[in-house]
Amino acid sequence: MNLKKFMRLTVLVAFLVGVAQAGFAQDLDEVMKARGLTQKDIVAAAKTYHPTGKKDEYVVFSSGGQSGQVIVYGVPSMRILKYIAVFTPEPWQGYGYGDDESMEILAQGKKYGKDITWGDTHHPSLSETNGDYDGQFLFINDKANPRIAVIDLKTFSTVQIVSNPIFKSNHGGAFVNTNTDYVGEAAQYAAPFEDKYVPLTQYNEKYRGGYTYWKFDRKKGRIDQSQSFAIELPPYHQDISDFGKKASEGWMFINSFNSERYQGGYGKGSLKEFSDKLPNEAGQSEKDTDYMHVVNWREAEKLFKAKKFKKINGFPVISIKDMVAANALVLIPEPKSPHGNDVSPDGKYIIVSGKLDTHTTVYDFAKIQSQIKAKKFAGTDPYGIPILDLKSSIHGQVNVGLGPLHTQYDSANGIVYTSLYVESTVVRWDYLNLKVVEKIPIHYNIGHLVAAEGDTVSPDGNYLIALNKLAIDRFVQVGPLHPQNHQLIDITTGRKMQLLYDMPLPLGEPHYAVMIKADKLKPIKRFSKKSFKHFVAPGTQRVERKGNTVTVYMSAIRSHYEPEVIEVKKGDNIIWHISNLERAQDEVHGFTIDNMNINASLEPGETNTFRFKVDREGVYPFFCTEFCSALHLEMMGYLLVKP
Amino acid sequence: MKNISLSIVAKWGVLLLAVLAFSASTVFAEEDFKAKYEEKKKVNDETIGVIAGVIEYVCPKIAPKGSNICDGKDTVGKAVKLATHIEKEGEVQNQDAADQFFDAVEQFKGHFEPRQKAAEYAKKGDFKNAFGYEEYAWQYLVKCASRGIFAKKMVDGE
Repeated sequence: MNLKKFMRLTVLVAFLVGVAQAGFAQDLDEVMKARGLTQKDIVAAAKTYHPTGKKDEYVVFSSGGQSGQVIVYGVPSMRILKYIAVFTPEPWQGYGYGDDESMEILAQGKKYGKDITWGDTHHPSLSETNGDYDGQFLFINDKANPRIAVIDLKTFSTVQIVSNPIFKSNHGGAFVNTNTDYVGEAAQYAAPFEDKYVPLTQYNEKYRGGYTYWKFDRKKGRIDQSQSFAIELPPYHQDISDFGKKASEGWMFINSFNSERYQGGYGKGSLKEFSDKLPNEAGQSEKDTDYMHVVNWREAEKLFKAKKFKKINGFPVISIKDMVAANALVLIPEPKSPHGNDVSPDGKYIIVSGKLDTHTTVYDFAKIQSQIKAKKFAGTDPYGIPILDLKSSIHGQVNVGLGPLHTQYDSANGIVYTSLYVESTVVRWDYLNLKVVEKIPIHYNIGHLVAAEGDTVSPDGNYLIALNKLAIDRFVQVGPLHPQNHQLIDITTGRKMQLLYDMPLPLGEPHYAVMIKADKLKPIKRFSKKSFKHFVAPGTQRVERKGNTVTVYMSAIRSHYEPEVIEVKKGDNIIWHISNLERAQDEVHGFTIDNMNINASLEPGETNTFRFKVDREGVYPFFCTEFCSALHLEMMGYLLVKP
Repeated sequence: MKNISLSIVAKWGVLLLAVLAFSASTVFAEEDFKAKYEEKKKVNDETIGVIAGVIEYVCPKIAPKGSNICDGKDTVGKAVKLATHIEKEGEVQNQDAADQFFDAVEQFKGHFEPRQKAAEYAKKGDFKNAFGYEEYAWQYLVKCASRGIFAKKMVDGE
């Protein structure tokens, strides 16, 4: 065989082998063998795989933790759909990069006149109508700088940030009542409400916890701060809370820890009078129980309307004394250092989990009510708040496992799911018949968990997601900091729980999430021109000068700005309005000017306004930062600054 | 607009490609703007013809069954009527195709003004500008066409 023939034969053999391999690659058994997949894996893949164009059944809104954002993804595909910028500037969405509209929202979150450019989002909450998600608004808290944000789900964008005037931190928020009259926010670490120095030796007398009720004006889609108020609570660190529903409508339940009111001083460098004490983690979990606060918030609302409050930092605060006098505040012991506090769909039960107790406790609202009505109290706390007897208030306790945290409800009567942090499992159990059904291991150290519409009056069941703190060995290592791991679990009634999917989330530490039916969301495709004061209508593009102020009225449409060349003088103040005149969905235009720290994301119909002073002469190209069409690169112009 | 038979519409993508390929492969002397303008005008007319065929084809497959939106001989009129219906979020047979169709109409609307300017310049004998504006109109038509292809694929279940 000569070389030529040999080469031809080699090519032919290689081709045939390739064809054979390609053929085999299409065979499911071969793929399974090659990838080491089991039948169970294939079923899991089939339950989550979405061919192109197929949309998800549910949408999850997950906190973005320290990123200060909200993460949106679909279920069961677990495909990330969006990051909503909330407390943190985000350039792709043009949020916080110079435009009046987003800068004004971020400025609402200033504390003591200072910009705060990050947040630690923890608990998203969807607006509800009659206890069901209505898909209109999302609320989320910033634990680090106690604030609440409102996200309009017509646009999936942040429209308001309110800063708590009396708290120094929060955790138990944002939660809404069944018709979204109020967005609730619990203080976390007790501190004086006033902004002044108070030594820790006066902790019991001067430090306070509290709960803020932010009035939500649904028509305006904004929190009405003038109709909002807070209640004073003892300096126990208030934590997760939940509004009552149906049977417990008008009431709410707030966990707390450190009812010891312990202040540590552990370690060198602490104040002398606190030195050699146990660290907080030991002292603040010394007792076997803490207190669940049971609040009649409708009664609190009446006190607010009757002006029975004191203004602190300009904000109305109802005193413990007035709440107790109105029979609107009692305490019930709860397993120490509790985390989850979750009201059942019918509002008859409240499930509380103490991180350091293996039991979950099921409180019975009817039993709580009968004691309150009969004024049958086991005692009072140091602040005069009546305390109910624990045993007389509960339906029962269940030994679910190590480190129970949060609970979500199933559509099947009595079935719930609780995260077990220490044990790294999810337990399916029956809170009516007080028994464990089954457990499934997760990877690893689960915090919150979310089931489809699992905190509403009508949970769906179907899917559960474990929001895990650690990923350890689940993904390719990307340095010492691993992504978080959201694990999708099939919780179909009548079948064993099945782990379907691991989703790495490398954006902050997602705490809580909410899962809504996708068809309840009705986002707009384009902005209405009426939404913007400075909308630049077609034909009105121009540049106007008044003294040393130059106003640009510019439009953007595939693929040009109008006007394209603008000349100003050094020292001029520029007001630059720019409208995206596109009406087709998803036709976004960006806008930046070199070296001005400006970036816009102009969605169809959207207008942004920028204000800046040109303090250097020169030539500044401006251009589109979004690949909007084949002629995207040509979508540019010049800002010429004369000396 | 020209009436185009459905058989042409079925080969619409191929036809459009051919039109565009011809446009791209034609080489003129740089200064011969009159010839360039006339050739571009021809390409645009043909592209519009193809677009018209697509409108006729997809309109009854997007508009609600039993509606009169796609009735009559005014192709542009029915396209605008359907786009308005889509914008008002009226019922449609295929929402994904409707979204694409809406943008196709938006782009189509954009081509009128530059074409008018092209004609004005041509009338004055300024073929450099006439060609420029005809080229500009063509960009809108191409954007319209790309959306139209999507809409057609979607109604055909591709």
